[in-house]
Amino acid sequence: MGSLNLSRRSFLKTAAATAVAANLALNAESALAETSHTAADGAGEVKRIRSCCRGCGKMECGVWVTVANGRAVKIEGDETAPHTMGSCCNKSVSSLQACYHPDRLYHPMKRTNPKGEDPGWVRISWDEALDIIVAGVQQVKDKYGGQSLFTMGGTGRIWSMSPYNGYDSWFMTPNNVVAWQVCKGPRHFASALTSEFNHSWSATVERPPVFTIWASTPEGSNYDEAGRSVVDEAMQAQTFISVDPRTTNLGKEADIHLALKGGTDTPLALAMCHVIIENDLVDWKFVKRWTNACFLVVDDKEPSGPPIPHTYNATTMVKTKLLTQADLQEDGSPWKYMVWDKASNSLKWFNASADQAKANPDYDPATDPECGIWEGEKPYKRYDGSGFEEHWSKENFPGQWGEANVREGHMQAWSPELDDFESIDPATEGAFEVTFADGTKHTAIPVWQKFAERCAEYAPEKSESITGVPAEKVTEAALVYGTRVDPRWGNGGIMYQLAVEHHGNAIMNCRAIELLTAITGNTDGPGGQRGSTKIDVTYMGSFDSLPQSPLLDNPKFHPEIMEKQLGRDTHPLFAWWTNWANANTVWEAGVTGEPYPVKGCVCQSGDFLNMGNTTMAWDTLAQLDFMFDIDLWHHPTAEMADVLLPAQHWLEVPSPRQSQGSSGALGLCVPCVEPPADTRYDPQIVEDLYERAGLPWGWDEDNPYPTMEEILDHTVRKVGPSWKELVEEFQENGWWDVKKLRPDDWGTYYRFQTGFMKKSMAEDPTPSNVIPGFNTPTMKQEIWCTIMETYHGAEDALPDYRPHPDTIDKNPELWKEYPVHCLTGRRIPVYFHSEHRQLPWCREVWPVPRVEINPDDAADWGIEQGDWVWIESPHGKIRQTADLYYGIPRGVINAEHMWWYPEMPAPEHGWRLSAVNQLVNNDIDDPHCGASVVRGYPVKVYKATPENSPFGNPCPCSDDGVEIIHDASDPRLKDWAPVYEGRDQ
Amino acid sequence: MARYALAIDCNRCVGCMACNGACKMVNNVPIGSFWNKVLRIGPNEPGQDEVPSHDFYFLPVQCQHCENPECVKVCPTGASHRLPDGTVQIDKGKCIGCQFCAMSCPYGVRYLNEEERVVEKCTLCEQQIAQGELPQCVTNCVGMAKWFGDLDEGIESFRGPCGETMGDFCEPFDGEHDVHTLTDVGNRPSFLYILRDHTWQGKE
Amino acid sequence: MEMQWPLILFTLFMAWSAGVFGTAAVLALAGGGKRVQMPALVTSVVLLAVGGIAVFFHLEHWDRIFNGFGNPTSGITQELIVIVLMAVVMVVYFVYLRKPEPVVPRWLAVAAIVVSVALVVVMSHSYNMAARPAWDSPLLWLAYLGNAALFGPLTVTLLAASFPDAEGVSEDAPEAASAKAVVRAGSVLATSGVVGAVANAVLSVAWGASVMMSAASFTEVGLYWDPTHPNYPIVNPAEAANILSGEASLLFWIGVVVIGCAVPVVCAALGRRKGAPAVPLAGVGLACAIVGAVCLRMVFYSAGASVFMFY
Repeated sequence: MGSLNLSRRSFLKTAAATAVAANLALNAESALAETSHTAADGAGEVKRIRSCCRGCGKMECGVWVTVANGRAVKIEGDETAPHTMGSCCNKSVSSLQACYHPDRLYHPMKRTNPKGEDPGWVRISWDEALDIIVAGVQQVKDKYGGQSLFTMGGTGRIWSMSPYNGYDSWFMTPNNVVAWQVCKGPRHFASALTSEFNHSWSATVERPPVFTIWASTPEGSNYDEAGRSVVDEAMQAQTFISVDPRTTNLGKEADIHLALKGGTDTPLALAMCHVIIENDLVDWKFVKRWTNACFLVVDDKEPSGPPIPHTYNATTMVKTKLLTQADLQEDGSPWKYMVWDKASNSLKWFNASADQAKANPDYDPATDPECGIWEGEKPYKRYDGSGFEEHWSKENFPGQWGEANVREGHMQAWSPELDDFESIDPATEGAFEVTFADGTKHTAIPVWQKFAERCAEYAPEKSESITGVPAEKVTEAALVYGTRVDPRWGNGGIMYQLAVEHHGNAIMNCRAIELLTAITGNTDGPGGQRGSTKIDVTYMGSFDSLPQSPLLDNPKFHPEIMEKQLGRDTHPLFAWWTNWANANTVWEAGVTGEPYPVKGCVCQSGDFLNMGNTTMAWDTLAQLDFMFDIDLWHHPTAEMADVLLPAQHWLEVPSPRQSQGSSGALGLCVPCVEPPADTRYDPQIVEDLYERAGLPWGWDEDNPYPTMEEILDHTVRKVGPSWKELVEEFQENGWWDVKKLRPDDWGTYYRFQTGFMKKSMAEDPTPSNVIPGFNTPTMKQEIWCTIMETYHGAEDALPDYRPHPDTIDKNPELWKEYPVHCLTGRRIPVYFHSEHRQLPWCREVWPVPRVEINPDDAADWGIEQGDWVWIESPHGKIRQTADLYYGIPRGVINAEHMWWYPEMPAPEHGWRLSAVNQLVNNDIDDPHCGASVVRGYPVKVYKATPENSPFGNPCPCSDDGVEIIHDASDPRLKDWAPVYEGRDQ
Repeated sequence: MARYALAIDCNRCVGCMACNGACKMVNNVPIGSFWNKVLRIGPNEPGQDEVPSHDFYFLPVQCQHCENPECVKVCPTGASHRLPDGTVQIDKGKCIGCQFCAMSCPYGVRYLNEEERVVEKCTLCEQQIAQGELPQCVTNCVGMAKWFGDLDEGIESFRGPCGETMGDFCEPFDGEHDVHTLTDVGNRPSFLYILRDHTWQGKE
Repeated sequence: MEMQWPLILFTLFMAWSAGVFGTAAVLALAGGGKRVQMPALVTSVVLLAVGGIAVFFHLEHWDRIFNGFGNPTSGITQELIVIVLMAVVMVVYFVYLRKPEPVVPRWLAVAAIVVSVALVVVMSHSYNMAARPAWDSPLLWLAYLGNAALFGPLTVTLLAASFPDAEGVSEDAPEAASAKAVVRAGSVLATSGVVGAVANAVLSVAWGASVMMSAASFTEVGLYWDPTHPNYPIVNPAEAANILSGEASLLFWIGVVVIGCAVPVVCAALGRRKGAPAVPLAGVGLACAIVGAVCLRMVFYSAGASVFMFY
């Protein structure tokens, strides 16, 4: 074993030398122990702690954190985490540099200089900080009203989601400006319209035989799935389809690449639906019974609906042209939607009455024998209340376990057989004369026929000129996707992600794609669109902001407040959705003071760079009377605050971590190191603020300000006796499989049939909430979207292609001067949006933003690789570095988003140099959900030269001519190396 | 005696650069210097029906732990040496910093550590592989593109992060056409690169 | 690759030292230049020392050089051996020159020539690396030998002007100091000046050609991206060793060819004429030779990309 001795000796030398170099006090023995993975060595200085990463906000990657002498020194993937296969990316290991970063905020701070200058931060106590904040918020409220306050939330630290509604009870504002509006929110919005909130998520971990990534790069960003699982699935799947205007890093391996023109997702999805329909690949069993395909549209019907509103967050009277029994007879039920039964050649109803329960406490679906059934068909199987220990669905629904190519450690769910109709046979096509109660005659046409006609309008050869994808390729992809590999179930869902949300037609795109998955039978099927992992645990400081006091008021209880929500007048669906104010409208109000001024703000992991026009967003922040920010860093948004509160890093905090998406895992974020100095945990900060504002916070009236331990115990009460014991179990056994923990909620497919789809995540199952179907007005997956119809009319009830006003079709004049199609926002594997720019291990491998340009275009434009180029729109201009990339078509560029330069001076930190949303037109957005048009707009591109650049330097510089860091060799990167001292002060 | 090396499944490499941070985390590589790098090779001009191009790949480059290492040959003091396990190592205590090894390396993977004033490069995480563990860039490789093993045992036996073997786990490849090395100028690089369905660029 | 100034100076001074020592030995063989022998020896020792010092600026840990140069395949080890050998020959040479009858025996002169040539060859050979195609040619040895052959006669010519063998020596003076010998020595010097200059010119250009011919040896990958240097242009392997029209072409054409080769040839040729101002010509020639040799080494590094140049 000579080599072992030798190598160990040489390693000790290396370790000693490098430890000195890195200013580490690690001694050689502990370094050795660390690498040998012993949990504790000698005096117990080295521990391996199982936790969950938060280097990005998108995935729950299990990690091992090695802690030596109280210091985190190593982060590796937890190989027992089946959903991630032990994936651990560069962002994760770079957390070691974030946690100990010299620029981290350690103390509350207040500004001493006016906004727009270097803030001149001075350290203050928590007491002083909380007092200033409570007074500042109150002042804005008193002067302008609660609506003049807004919250800014991002998708960062997962326990920092209070801006999504946690502050509303205090501020009493309807205005939440949240990144969700341009990232996942539109998908959730669209799936809530169509089937279930957040059923945009598909279960990649269940290994569908056809893997489709639509508009995303999860391989590098861990977007909803760990990169490792995604790469493996792409390799393993029989067919990997990539739908993206450019070739992605993983897309180079695609079997079929549909390189559509950005923003034409709806025509492409409908074209694929057309191929599915034409080739009779439709899952009729599902479509006829579980969608509203057979419901009848009466074009000349005055829209009407049930007398009791459909509720989502606000009350909504449904107004639809779908034929109901109430249209046909005086005593007819408006809950009963009519279909044409081919077996009896007569009209039959489906009774979608479950929603009554939401508004009528006397109504119990469990006791209504007609609820949720088709006329003449047997009633559904009523839940017996057996609880989570039993697998009720498996006992009561014949079926089989799902089977697919799963890797070790992963299981599929119980797959119940889908019921057939026993006596009726609803028609999907035809025209049927119906007589209304008033005696008038009308023609009723099945939704499906209208849908098929809509799809035919976008048949591959017809939509080719819109999407740019050759018809035969679309047909090929649709056939592969629709032709079942296993006749028992569909080929899987579609991993469609955020690029479809950014072209001003977000909701249409999402609905069209969802319907493609639905008609092929992938709704809640194996590897299909399964939605958020369903378990009654939430993370700390979540959207739901548990544990809020029942005594608290909320703006959602006050229609007069909600009416003031910015953007509601131009986006009617906000009345139904309520979850966000329109970012574009808020910036507009900030700049113009119309319709009313916005004067106060809290930011917690939010950012002004992510949506709408950045310059307007900045100007909005600049004119605020009061703003506070809770953060780890000084960044441009923070530099506009009056008070800064120091947050804690994921290596320092506890939180449950259930899969946001369909990965089906439950784990924990476990504190690994002591938090530094005056930092506090985000949920603690919010509680402290409520306490200081004199408002109750905790769920228990008698204990309005619970301890963090009490909060943790409360949050996990459904899955464990206490947080502490759960941590012990987690350290010992690793991640939980939610399919086993919640066999009916998550361990069963086709929950629309068992009744567990509609039941909310937080509720215990009862016969009253386990009801088959979906949470839509028709209780069906809605091909014909009744809520959309209610607000935007029947013309929006089916998906349709709606290019935004700045597309070449709508505004050709604009494209004469700005002829290049600008895509942005591709995921950079070492960054999370604007995060990590100051972490050396990230920045040194990605020093500057790169704009992908087709080399043939570059040659025409006189641009070579590595050149700085100007990208200019009517709204602004920026510089990024040219990357000559044949993976992007001619006439299209792909710029990076949300760049700022921490090395540049406060307050701007260089955001004006490269932040791409300066190019954005703040006046246009998705008419349905308001998602701003942050991709797919026209620009011009030209080389940055000494003549056309400030300081005669094509490289972006600070106001005094100092260049940004643009190379790995820049010595300033070394100034960001970890500092371990001073954390206790 | 062994011939430790990495086999890299380039189809699985997605250019995420997890290997960069992973390496730095356990080897204290100076900021701005690299023991490994991921290059994007291509895409070069696509064919008619291939717009946009898919013909590119990511190429993780580091010390190739050559069987006939020039760097060892030119090192005056024996600081650079080849271990019985087949890896090429630097005894920093012996290094005089003449950097002839850096000049003699065909791949440019050696550099002078400015602080210690000695030459450094990838050790294949000798401190870990000597204990039976994997190099950190293999453990943390997101795409499971990197596999560690002994060339004498055959490429199928190369190990992945959770004990998988390349033969069982990776997609099949053609040993003749799909397996490549970096340019060999007599140094006989040990690392193998597997690339299916894409054009390997450069000499072997 | 970037300029390695200590190594540029090291190889320059080594070649210069070897050239002077070798020229002195040639003179000794020719039986002339008696008074210039000691200054030439001292000069070559000094040049050797300066070169040796220069190389220390390249080594990062010269404190460790006594750790041992145990690896015989290393060019540096080989250089060290030859330098030691050369030093030994120089000591012996010195001993003979310090004798009352300061005559360099033929064997010693031959040994001095051999060791001088060996030094230049070994030194240049250590840069023959398969990894750097532009360096990997024996023509490099010859180019450096050409440098030495140019430096030597010009330097010794200048030294000889300061330390002339006495005119009108007595008839009974020893053969080496005879008037005939003086004339012969002068002529040997002048001839070797021309030979050296021509050899240098031919070999330098030949080396340049070998550099150009290495172009095909570089690995090409077409378009690529190195994430760590986003503002670097793409390197073009076809251009890496293009010293005729590429980045280093001015250095090559003006520095090496015109100043380093052509001017010394002209000087040497003019110097052969009767009554030519030998000292200014030798001075100009030497200055140009030094500039040319430095330029040649700069071209050498500039073309010295590694075969796989994308890391």
